[in-house]
Amino acid sequence: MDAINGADTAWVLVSTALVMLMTPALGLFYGGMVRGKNVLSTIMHSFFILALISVQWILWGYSLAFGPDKGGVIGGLEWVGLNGVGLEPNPDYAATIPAQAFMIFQMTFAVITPALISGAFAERKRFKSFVVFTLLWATLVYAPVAHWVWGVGGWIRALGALDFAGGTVVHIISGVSALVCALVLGKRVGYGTEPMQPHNVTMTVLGTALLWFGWFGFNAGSALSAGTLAVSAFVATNTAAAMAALTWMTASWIRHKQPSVLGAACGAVAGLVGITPAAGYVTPMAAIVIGFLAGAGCFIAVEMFVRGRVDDALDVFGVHGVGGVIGALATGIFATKAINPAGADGLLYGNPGQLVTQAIAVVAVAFYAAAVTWILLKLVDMVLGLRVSKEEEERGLDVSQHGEVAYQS
Amino acid sequence: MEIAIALVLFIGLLVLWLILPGGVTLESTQTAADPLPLMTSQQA
Repeated sequence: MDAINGADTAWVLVSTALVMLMTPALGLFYGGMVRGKNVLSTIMHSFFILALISVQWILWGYSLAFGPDKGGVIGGLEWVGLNGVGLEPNPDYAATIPAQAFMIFQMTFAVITPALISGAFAERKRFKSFVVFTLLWATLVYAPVAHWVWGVGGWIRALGALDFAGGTVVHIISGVSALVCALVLGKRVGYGTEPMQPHNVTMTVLGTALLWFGWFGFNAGSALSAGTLAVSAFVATNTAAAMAALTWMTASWIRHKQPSVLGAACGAVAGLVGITPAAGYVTPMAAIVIGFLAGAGCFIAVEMFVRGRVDDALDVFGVHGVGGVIGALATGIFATKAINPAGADGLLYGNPGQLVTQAIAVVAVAFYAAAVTWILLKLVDMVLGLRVSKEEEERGLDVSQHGEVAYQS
Repeated sequence: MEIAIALVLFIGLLVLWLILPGGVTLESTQTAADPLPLMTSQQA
């Protein structure tokens, strides 16, 4: 146990708690944006996934994602039930913290990634179908992609693609999968004709604040050590979030003539998404640029391309999909070994090949996630049906799926 | 170069905030339920 560093372990455990908080925070972020009759259903999507994937991960998810490599595409089942994952460090992943600390930290990423997708099918998906789909998706999409990008032997990791905390593994695959879900499930009843305003923007802003707070664990915790790299990632994270919030709010001000609170909140999240793959590789000044690009790019994607065409209820593709792509490619531009010697230099530092590598990673994970998500949705639809009935949808999912009411009048 | 780009972007936003219109007017938000009469510049 001499190799274990107490400070590193403490920071990773704290980061795990911070990232765990992000999932119920996401529930609040999304919950405030749906109509009041669906708020509990929306919150339940996130809360339930926290419980479901917490168990799935230690049973087989962790083994598939990080276990001994099989052909560069998946981990084996040697670590099912945490067999061999004890309190000694695994130097392949984190030499100074217990292996179970790394495992539980990674679990919180596996939890939030499928939770992000739930924003796309909010207000219309059957709970039972959501449960089955989520379990299959976490096993067949998240685990393999995590292995490709982060697993020892993973083929995208072997290519040299950089993803510090999950631009590809978390945001691109959840964003693309969300788009597929929105397309397959179809539009909500009344979409385009009835108003569907956020029922509680204060809830959304609270969720945003908690997400921002938790994201320090998401990004700075991915340093897996309590040292300079964690500090660098922490600074980059806050800076990008702030700049993106300012940018989206300004874009909203230009387009809609008013600085929008909801716009500032969505902008902050876009910035956090954008900096996620880059956080441990870029300078604070680059984080300002990435925040601007994410804020502006996601605003344009949401307002001009997605809304009105696809009922991605809570803009998951526009923020996480597009933001993840922006961040992953920006990493290929702004990464510098001066910040992280274990990384690589990007285009701006004389290595244009890194941008190509990032693009390959983006395309590969996006296509895989889209294809498998589509197949899973079709399978679940055949067996269980994806959508609630029109009557259930009009009554609201809180009552029709959970028998509960959020607000007593 | 990164510093220059970052400065340009941030200052650009600051400039925009100064020149963008200041949001909705009070008259446009006045509703019949408001208990207080709208104060005009002549009354103030």
